[in-house]
Amino acid sequence: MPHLVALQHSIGNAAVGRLVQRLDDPDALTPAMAQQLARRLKDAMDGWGTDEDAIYGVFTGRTQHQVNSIEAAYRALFGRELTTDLSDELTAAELRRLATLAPSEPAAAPTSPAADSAAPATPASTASPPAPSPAAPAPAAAEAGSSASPAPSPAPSPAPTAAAPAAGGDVAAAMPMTPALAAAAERANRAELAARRLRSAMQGWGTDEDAIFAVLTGRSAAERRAIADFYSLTYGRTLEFDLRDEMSGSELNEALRLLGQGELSSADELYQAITGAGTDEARVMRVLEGLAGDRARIRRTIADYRRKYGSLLVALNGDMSGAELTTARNHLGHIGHLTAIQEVIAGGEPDLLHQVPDFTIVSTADRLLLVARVHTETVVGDSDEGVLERIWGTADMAEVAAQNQSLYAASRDRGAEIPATLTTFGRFQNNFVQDMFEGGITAGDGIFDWTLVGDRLNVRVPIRFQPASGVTPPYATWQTQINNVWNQYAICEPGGRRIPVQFTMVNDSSASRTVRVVKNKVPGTLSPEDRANAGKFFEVMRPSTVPHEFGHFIGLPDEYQRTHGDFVEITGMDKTGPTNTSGRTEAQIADDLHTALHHDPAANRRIEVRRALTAAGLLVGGRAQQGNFAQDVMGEYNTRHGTLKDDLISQFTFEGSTQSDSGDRWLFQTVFSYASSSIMGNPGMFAPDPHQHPVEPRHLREFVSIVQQRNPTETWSMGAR
Amino acid sequence: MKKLTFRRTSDSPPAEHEMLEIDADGSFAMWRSTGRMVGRFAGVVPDIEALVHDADRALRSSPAGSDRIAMDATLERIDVDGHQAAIAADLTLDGWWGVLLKRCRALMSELCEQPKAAIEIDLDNPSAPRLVHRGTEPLVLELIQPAATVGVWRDRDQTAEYWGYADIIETVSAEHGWQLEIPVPDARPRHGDNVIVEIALDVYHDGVPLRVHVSAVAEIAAPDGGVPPNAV
Ligand SMILES: [Zn+2]
Repeated sequence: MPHLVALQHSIGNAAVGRLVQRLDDPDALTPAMAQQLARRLKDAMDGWGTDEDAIYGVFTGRTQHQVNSIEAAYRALFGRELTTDLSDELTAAELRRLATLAPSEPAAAPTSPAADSAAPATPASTASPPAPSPAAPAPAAAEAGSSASPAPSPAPSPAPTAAAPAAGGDVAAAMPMTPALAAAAERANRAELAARRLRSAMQGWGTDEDAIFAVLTGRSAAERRAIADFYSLTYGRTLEFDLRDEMSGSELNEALRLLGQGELSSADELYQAITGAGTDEARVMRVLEGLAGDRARIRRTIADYRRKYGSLLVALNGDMSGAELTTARNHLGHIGHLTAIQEVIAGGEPDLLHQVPDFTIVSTADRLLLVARVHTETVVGDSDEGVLERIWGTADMAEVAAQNQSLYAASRDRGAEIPATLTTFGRFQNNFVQDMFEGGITAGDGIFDWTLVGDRLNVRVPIRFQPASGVTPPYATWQTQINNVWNQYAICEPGGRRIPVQFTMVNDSSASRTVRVVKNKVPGTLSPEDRANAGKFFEVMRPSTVPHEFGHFIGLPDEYQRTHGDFVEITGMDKTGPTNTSGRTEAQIADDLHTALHHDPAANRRIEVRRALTAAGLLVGGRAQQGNFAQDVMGEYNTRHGTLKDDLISQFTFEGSTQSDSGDRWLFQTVFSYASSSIMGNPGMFAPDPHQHPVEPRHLREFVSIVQQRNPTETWSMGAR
Repeated sequence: MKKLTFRRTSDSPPAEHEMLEIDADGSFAMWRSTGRMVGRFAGVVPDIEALVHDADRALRSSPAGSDRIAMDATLERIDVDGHQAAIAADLTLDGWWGVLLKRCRALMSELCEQPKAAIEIDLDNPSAPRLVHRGTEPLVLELIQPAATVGVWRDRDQTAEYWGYADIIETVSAEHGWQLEIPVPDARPRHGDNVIVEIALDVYHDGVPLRVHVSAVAEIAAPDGGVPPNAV
């Protein structure tokens, strides 16, 4: 046996020994069979009273090998000695009876005289003490259950046709036996015992299902054939016919599965546990625990279940919930989750997804299908939200979400707590207010949607345009004007990567921000009276107007007539202006200013203020001198006397004001204000400062930070395209 | 009503700070910083009874409006004897304050017919627009190479923009009959073009230099230009 030698080298003696035994003994129990039998024994002994018939059923017609396997399985499963347990549960008489049911020496040396399965041997003649009890009582005389069972077991069957060589034992004994023949004869003896026990379990009051299951469990194909043959020959009806006659529903299913397979597959057991009266959670868990970690078996079980009974996952969902269901599903692991996903994609209930902890096990395309399926739920509950959150929540979905923003938004609408902004897309919203110099407030909202995919940053700015009647807004022209100012830049890093920023103003009837579009005073021509603002456009405007208002739409404030603090904050730059050469300190000048602003009579205040500012050098030739010096004076004023700006307004009271007050105040305020000549500072009424770019890095700060957040390892800044 | 003040304010360039003051007897004083005529205006408000009537009714109702306006918009405020209403210049108000507001807006334009010390642009010749004094009193102008921008428009497009300036640096007291031509030699609009001229300069008002923006709009009516334009 060169093969065997090789095998012994590679897998070891013990393994080969088991293999040889299995090869040699066609009726050897599979591990599953042995376990199922051990469990039937345990069940029979557990609880109130003892189910002796089930115990007899287990041992009836077993070989010594089989009994050994059962005993070993029992020990492995329950950590107890079967012999001890049986001795505790059964009376001496019952034990003696048990001893008659199983032969001690199986196929090895055929002692049975029967050469044909149809020819019943006398069970008593082959009966030996059953192995589980090495110290069992000595074999009693053959009684073969005749006293306990209503079935006439010891009696030979009528064997109506008996065409086969149903000869007596001596004939058989006289025949030279091949090992195969001997095995068949021995099996026939055991089959007869089993068949008779089945018969007895089905007769009389009611049906003893547990005894039937016990007998049918753990029979090899040859044994099952032998049992069925004996049964039909002896009783004139097929075993299956009688089983169907006596049982129904899940019990019949269990019997038929055993008759067909000799054991319950995991799928069968699960089905039995789930379908029987009330779910047998312990049994479900036990089967699932047995499967846990073995992907191939889990896959087979799920497929087997589907073929026979439908979806295992749906069945589990229907019968379990909460932590229990989670545990059950976890036992099915990866394969279970994949199956759930496949079933949902194929139209199954999205509930199956609740237990799936991680959706990266399938493609992003499949995940999108799952999202759509969950959205079809009439009620999207917490668990569904959890599914959506887990699907969208992984890093690899960031780009997918960016490309499927409406689906993503729909998930949020349905309650999924997923961020409105990912690193690939988002909505920016801010609002800003600016105090006007002569009172009043201008207010603006920045709103845009951005998408950062494939090294391109697209910025969509939705506006609900409301054209007056007869007005056709020139959207294309406006976009061109925006292109000329804003779409000239990229976000860059030193390594050379450039991410162009593309701004698009979109007429969107669902936008929250509205802009009216009206005719020009002189139609088709921009008159100076046509003053556009962030809420009103004209058909025709200066090329710089839309780009300036667009800056507001993306959240940027104005950069004209701002306070110094605003100006530095907004522009990041300073204006130096003239230094203080007045010979007086900034604090003294502030005091002078305060005195002037509170001069009595009020009508002369503006003259006094002008005089003070001129003496300080903050008005030169009547012109405002902005810069640090002016700011220092204002700082001193604010520290010593309250807010200068408030005083400039309040000390030229509105009611008592004259036209020149207005002009004076404007001039004074200009001294203490700042402006840039960028697109946000000067909307282009007059030629902009050639040294300043219309768009400065500060204007694209938000977009640099979007890119930076997505690509944190590089350092990004604004650059040309 | 004893006194009504109507103000227009915008920080957005060109900054507007215009004010109209009207007394109950109908006398008014007005300052305009932008528009076709800028400077000081004074005289008598026509139909003052109707204005007083509207103002009195407004006084008996609740002030309305908001001084929170859109970016770059212009804020308008009416003050009647200390009671105020505020609104963005491109919006309307309901109620009696709304009626009064509408009247004030119209007056700020109509009362330009009564200049006291003002300037406007004469656009007879688009390539040589002229600043012209209007009114009876002098207006001190700071002329530092005053420049004119001539925009040419046709079919909603600006087809050209020209620029020219008068090469002078001086402070003048413009009086009746004063005018200054600002050559923009390249400006040759064609028949059917709309032309817009804008000039910015500082005007001294009680010794305070104030930036004003004066403008004019005309349609070139004849093929060879030079024909009297329809000033708007
Ligand atoms: Zn603005």
